[in-house]
Amino acid sequence: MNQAGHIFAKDTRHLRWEIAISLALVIAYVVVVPAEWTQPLEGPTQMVRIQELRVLAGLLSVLMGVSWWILITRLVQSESLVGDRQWWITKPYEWSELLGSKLLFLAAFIGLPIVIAKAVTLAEAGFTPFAHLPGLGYSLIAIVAFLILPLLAIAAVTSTFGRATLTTLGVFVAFIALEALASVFVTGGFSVDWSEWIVLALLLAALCSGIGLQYACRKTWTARVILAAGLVLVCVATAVAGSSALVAMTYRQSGSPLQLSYNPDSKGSSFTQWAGRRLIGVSVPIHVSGIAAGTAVDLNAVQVTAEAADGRRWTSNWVPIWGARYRAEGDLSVAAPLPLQFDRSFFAAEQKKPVTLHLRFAVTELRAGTPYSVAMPKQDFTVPGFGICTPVDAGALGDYTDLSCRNALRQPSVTFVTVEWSNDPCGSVGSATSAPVAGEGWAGTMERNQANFGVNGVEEVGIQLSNNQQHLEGQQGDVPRHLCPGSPITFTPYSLSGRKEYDVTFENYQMPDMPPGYHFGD
Amino acid sequence: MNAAIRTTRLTKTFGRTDALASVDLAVPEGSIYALVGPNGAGKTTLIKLAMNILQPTAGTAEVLGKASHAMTGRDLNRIGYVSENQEYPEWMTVGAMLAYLRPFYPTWDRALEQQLMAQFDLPPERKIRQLSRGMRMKAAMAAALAFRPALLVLDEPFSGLDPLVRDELIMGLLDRSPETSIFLSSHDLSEIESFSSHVGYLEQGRLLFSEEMTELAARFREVTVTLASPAAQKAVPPQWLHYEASDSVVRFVHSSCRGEQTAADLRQMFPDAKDIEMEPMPLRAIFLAVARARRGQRVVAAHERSQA
Repeated sequence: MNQAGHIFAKDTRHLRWEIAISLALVIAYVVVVPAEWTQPLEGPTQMVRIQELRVLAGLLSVLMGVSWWILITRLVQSESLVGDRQWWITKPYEWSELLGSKLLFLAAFIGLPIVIAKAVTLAEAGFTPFAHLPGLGYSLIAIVAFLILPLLAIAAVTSTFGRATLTTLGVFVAFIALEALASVFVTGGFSVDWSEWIVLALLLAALCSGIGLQYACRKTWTARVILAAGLVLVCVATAVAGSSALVAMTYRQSGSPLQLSYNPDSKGSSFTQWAGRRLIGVSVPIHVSGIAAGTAVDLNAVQVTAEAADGRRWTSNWVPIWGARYRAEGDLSVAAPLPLQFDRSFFAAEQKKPVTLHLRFAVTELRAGTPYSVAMPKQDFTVPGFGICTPVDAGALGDYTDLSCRNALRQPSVTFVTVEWSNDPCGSVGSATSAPVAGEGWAGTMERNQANFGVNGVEEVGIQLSNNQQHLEGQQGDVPRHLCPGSPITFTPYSLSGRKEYDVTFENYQMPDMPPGYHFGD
Repeated sequence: MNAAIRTTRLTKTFGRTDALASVDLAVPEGSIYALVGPNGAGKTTLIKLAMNILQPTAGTAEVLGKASHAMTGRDLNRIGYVSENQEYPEWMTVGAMLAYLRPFYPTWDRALEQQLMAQFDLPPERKIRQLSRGMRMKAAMAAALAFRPALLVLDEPFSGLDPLVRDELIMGLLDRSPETSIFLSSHDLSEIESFSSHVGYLEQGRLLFSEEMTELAARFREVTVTLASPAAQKAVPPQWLHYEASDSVVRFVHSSCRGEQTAADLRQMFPDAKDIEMEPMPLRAIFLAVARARRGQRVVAAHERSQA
């Protein structure tokens, strides 16, 4: 007898209603989600409807998660591994067959539906699912590692649904707390991107060991210790991933012409962003120049060492810098706010005195690829390597005012998008009152993940184009500019060129004042 | 004789509590072995160690020739197990449960299954959660007997059952013996006396004796000696339990009786005896005598310790 198949058939009969609800939710999701790509993006009513569909899709996502959690817990605990009074443990079950039956069940009723749902959403969005099989496979691995196995492990070391629920909540809270502690005390919130693979490997190793041991020997406490140790190890790995040693290993010292300097004038002085119990966040305006032609730089993180006149020093963790990606455009120099963290006591002691800031920047260098230009069409258009874009007429004005883009399974690689805005409605060709206005924006990511996490196979690509609004005399507030059919749109992909560390020193830096309402005695 | 179950210095502790202390026990093949003892004596622990549900702290248990800790699922297709406090798949019907179990056992006998269903009057369409305690035990017993196991292990199978159900279950067991070795635990002595071939007595984790029922019954005698004159104070041999002497009558339980030889020994010890009666004892009386004697010994030992 094939025990795994026999147990699988029993579980399928037993959990038929849970399976039906779970599949119904997936089907509903697959029906709801593509509506935003298959319906015209025109008019406020339609945009509101799409927002409603997004809310519904979000709700369905939550319900799907809950249904999987119930399904997995009920499945595993139908042959509970905890305790010594279970009926099945005195029957001729082979543990490998039992575990195999459970995995088969999860593959059939959770894994396979997710892959099918992703493929369907891909097809609905205009992509060819078969062209994305590796990404679908990666997505399945991610779902197994981050959703199915953790829930399976919790169900395997708890005896009842209630205990599994409490344990799940406990693990979630513990994970958040450990990550927050690591973020505050060790990493500053930044980690090198390849550390995700180490975390994934550790997570899989801990989950597989704990589950395997529990099924093979029913040594519940040992399995619990292994799983708890795995959780701690994952947090430690996350913390170590932002350590100076790993950052130094990933970002090599460089002699590039890139120049970063203190720039107190262009965007105002530095100011205190926030004040915590231990740390003070300070925003410092900087000046970026010297970016080589055909390249871009992404300031990923910064570590500050502040040195007082009396020799006292404070060195922060590596702190992530968000949205600081710059490209060369002639001899462009740009100013950007830089988030620095200082120890509160150091800040208080040195607030009125000049200090020297030694800054270490973790910088990703990007190289421009071949641009792809297209005259703005009136319907969906495909941008190679970027995805499919749809012109948006949010105001039902008969004019397009934005682009909505989507890509298969993941965000595209970093891409610089330029458009030409028209101040006038597109119908008034020939009577245009002003020259086109350039708009630009970054889209995509440098992350190397092959696929997103979840049931939706389609990733919405956010493009925040500059200059998309204009102020008209006599009108209250800004009004949108227009993307007229036929106007040029250019997509310039960027690829990784290198990861470098740049060291800069700002002499005689004066700490800003505390924000209103904050006092050092707080 | 081969043993269906053999334990060697089997020990289990839970924290500081000794649930089993170095138990040596052998259940002969083909026997109906009743392990008796008061609640908390360690009967269920011993059974769970034999079934590889628990792991021993020390010592070993062999079941059908295999070390219990090394038993796999495959080894369990020759062993039936029924326990009073097992968690059953409540959502299944009786018929579905038997149908589900059928493919697990290569020796499953469909005709015997039908026979047991009829014999135990089991409703195949009834869900297990809807069954009474007695019906549930009968369903479990049917599932444990239908594959003609080489060994049937029963943990308090008759506890709390009405006499009718108990008799039905016992009839079902007797039908299977001696094809199947049966090892059962009970704290109700009267229910096992009628059909057990072997008996072991466990108290506070220690096996006080383990032997054939007939030998046990022959070994214990309630002795009454009527003397011509008041009994003189004399040393009491350890095999005399509950020794009482009042005027000219001496009463005790002899735990090592050897028939005529013992009668001759007693006549020699009590030369002025007018009459010596050696009455056989029911199992219940034997165990009560042993249990009280043990308790008395413990009280004396505790008293001596406190005096020391």
